[in-house]
Amino acid sequence: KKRYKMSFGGYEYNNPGMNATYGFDPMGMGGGMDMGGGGFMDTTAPTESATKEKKGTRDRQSLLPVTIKQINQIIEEDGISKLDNVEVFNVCLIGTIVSIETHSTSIIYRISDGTGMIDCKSFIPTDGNNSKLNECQENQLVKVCGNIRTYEGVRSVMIFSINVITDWNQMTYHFLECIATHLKNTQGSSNMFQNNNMANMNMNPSNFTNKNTLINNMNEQNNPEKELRDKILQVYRTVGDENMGPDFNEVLNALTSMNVRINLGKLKVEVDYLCNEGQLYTTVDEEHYKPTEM
Amino acid sequence: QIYRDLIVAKSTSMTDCTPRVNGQQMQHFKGRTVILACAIQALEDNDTVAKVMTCDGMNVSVHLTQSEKQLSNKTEFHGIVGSDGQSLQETNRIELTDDFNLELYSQAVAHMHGKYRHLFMNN
Repeated sequence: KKRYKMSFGGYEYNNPGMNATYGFDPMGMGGGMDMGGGGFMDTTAPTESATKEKKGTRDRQSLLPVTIKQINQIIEEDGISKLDNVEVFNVCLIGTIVSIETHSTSIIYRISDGTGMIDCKSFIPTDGNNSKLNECQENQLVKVCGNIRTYEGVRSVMIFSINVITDWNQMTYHFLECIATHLKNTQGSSNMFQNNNMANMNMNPSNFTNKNTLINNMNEQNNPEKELRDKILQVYRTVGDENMGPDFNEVLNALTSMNVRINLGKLKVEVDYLCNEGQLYTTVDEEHYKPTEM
Repeated sequence: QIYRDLIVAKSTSMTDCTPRVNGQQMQHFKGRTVILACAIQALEDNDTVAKVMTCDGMNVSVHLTQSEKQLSNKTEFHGIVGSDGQSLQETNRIELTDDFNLELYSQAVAHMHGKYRHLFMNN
């Protein structure tokens, strides 16, 4: 049996709740992926409960980017911490060090990101290798990954890793990532990544050099024009000749039946936009279009 | 009871928010401590006042309290907004790197005060 071991910046963390069983098991125990003795291969697919348990386990392994304000919004339900209805275990935050309190076995960093302050505790490594901790000074921007703890109603973070950040654009990126994750957890990932730009975008802060950024996609999320474009695409996917696609009149009629009233000029503008985005292409002439994805 | 009061006081101060603002938003935070990331344009009055351009392109005066410290080209000032809404009394500053993207930051700040303010602000 193999056990997963999580590792954060050198601090080994073993969560006993993350056992996974793979490989040869002569007793035929464990998940449906085990092979029995004598060459018998059990081809039973993993059960739904096993899949859900794995997913829940994976969720607990994931790092949730949050602001300190969000940490204070975490709700405790039956011993489970939840934020935006998602179980929270490990978090990642970025902020500046306000103060450092050194004890014999641990260091407490008070971190502020403008949305609040929180104490983040790190145990001093017993091997004496605390170079990373020594790098962290007051007023420095740091990225902290850790586990949320609550004591007497006050939240704190048990640090797995703390790293000094020299690129301040990472702070901007982190705040945007908090918003994006919040949207994903509250509205679902299908809505978040509906736009191809969002799914294909490289989330590296060093790529934020022009307007084609996470912000533009988030602005589109709230844009009524996007709703119109979605409906136009829906029409192109369902109406018209299979080979040529519908012409403008057919599209306008279909939109009218959906209670969407726009004029021909507006439709041409939106179709032009969708063409440039790669969502539509012309077929026999400039009047007929088809979607790139059905 | 004193111990519990201390816990409450600590938890209250820990949840205090210091909002990040651009030049336009400073008007709404007069007398309050804010965080202003900006680009330094000039120093005046014996280097006690910094003329800065905020991330949304507005000109603001920052009254420095640490005038002996050299300013970097881009700086994040923590301070109290003046009654005119266009000046800041510095309480702390953090140097930013020259490659800090103020335009992108400005858009992020707009989101922080807009639809997603519940993730960043107390009210």
